[in-house]
Amino acid sequence: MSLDEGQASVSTAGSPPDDGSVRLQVENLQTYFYTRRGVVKAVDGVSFSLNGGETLGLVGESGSGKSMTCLSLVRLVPEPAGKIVGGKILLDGTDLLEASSQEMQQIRGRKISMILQDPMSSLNPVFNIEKQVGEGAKYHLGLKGVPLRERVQKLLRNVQISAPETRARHYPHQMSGGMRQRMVGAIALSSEPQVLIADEPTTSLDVTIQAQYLRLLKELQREHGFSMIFVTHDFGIVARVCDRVAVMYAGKIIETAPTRELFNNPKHPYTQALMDSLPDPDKEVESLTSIPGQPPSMLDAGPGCPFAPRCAHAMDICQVEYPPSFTMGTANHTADCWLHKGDD
Amino acid sequence: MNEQAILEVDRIKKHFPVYKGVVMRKAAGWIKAVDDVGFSIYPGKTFALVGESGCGKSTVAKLILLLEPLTEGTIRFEGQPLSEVSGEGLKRYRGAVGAVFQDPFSSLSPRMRVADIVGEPMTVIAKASQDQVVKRVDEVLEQVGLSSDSATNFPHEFSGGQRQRIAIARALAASPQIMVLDEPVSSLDVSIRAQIMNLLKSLQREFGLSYLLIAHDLGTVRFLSDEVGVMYLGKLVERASSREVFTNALHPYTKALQSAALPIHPDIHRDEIILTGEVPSPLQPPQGCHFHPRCPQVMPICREIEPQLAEAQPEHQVACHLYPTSQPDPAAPV
Repeated sequence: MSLDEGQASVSTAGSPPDDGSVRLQVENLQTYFYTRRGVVKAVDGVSFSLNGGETLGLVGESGSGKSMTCLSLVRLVPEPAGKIVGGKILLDGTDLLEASSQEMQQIRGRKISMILQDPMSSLNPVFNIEKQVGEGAKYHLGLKGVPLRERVQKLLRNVQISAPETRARHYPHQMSGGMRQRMVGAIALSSEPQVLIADEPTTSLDVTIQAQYLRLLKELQREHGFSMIFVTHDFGIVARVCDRVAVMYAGKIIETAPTRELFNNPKHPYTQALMDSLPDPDKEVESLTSIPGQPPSMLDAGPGCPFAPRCAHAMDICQVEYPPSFTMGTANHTADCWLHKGDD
Repeated sequence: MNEQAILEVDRIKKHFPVYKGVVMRKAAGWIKAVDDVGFSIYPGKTFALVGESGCGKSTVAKLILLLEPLTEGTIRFEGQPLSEVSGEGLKRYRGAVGAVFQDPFSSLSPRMRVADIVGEPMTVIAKASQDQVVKRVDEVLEQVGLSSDSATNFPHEFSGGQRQRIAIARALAASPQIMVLDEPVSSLDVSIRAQIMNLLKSLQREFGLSYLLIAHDLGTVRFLSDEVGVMYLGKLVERASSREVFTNALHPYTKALQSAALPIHPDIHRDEIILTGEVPSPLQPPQGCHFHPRCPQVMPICREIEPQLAEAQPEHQVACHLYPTSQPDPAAPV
């Protein structure tokens, strides 16, 4: 493994983003938390697939299980309270849930890496940038000395840091939020991963910096061809960066569809209600449609649909049985809702 | 608008000293957090201040709430400068201005019951009796959509949206005329935001409240506000009615903010104006127009002379050299 490999993938720039091959396949993933007050099913039977070069948006409110899904993918669920109790995570055909912890160390950063929400807490304040950005390349690619230094500078240039020679010697506190988050991006991409998980990477950034960062991520993706899972609660970000979307509620994926299809034709009442409740900067309205009630407590979830208490279309069956995923007219569009029984 | 403004903010400044040294502390410079900002809030209307973090919008809120002394300028409440008011008059002002902050997890004391949190402004400002307080607490809790049973509970028993309702109830308790809303929905979940925004709007309609809204999300601003001021590095760069700002933005920074606001549908395409660089340090703001290092339409004059906020179109003020009205003195050579 050397620098050449990195350059090889750079030369594929311009290839279409989604290459159609399945890179990551998640089947019936279950991550539970065992608390004194009961079992919390943070991830409750989540299944999805991610193609090479594709961007999948994972959308949901706080507590819907989107971050736990991501942590499960890299097997970093906080133990012993939390535990992955079932399912499969197939990365290029091998099940990550069967990998040993030594094997996982080879996979994290090398094959799947992650950008977290807050760059302030994901960077170590006592190490300089060169050390932190170079760590992955040192460990996974075995670089040291001058090649490592060159690699770090190339990574910094990749994320559009000006004067990387000087910046490499700086510490996180000497940089602004936007620049720190670009450093985190450089770390995540340092060993050329195939899958990048971005967990709300722009939430702590200002709007104009957010726009810069989203564009940078898309450019890097075009250049390096990695697949991306983009966790967000903001449908605006979904509209701008994602190819396909999975909407989560109470630990389950309740609807998935290609982005445009989801916006034009949302099928699950929760997705519909969320879309209606967004204030539009392009329109003047008198009042917003709001969703009544509160997101559910994840303790003692009943057998029915967790959205039923807030749903305008709830029926008797919704209280007692969780619906299967029904396929909507077009391919790739599924919704877990009894309203669509018989549509497929 | 010919109506009498309820609150006038007249060219206010807030400069924070930056000290150097530990033993021999001396002011090494000044951060001009708020520099010559002026606007008026009219009865029953909402004025929104928009800008990125560090632009000084929250400092303006603190100045209006009298949590920080002014460096320069005047704030007039019902025509009377606050600097001339003291004692009872000041108390009356504090009762007339309520505040709701961003994070309902840190703005409510975890050791007080809801009844005490909501009732406190009344006890302190209106010196109300216990019976009056209890009655009023029930009343405002109902107005914000909470049951009166919740009065005996503690904040941790509520979700984020409900806590924000408690914070709004507290602000309403002393029957204010003005409410300062500092990012009131940005910490809430998407499905809850619409509830709170609708609540704020209906309260405004019902009680004729005036709002000062501080927000960075343009969707929220468009929904709630009548007038908008855009701030950049301590200065107002554009000020007009909400409709004007959203349909006919003049300042390049406002245009960039709008372009960066994420559309709610993938088919909405905006002119892509992505600013390079970041907001410079307020300690050493750039010479001339503060925005010039990031401005896509920068001209030589922008690097030299600071543009003045002036009316470029009827009822629409902007501080930018693209509009001849912004030059300090039309007679001066450029």
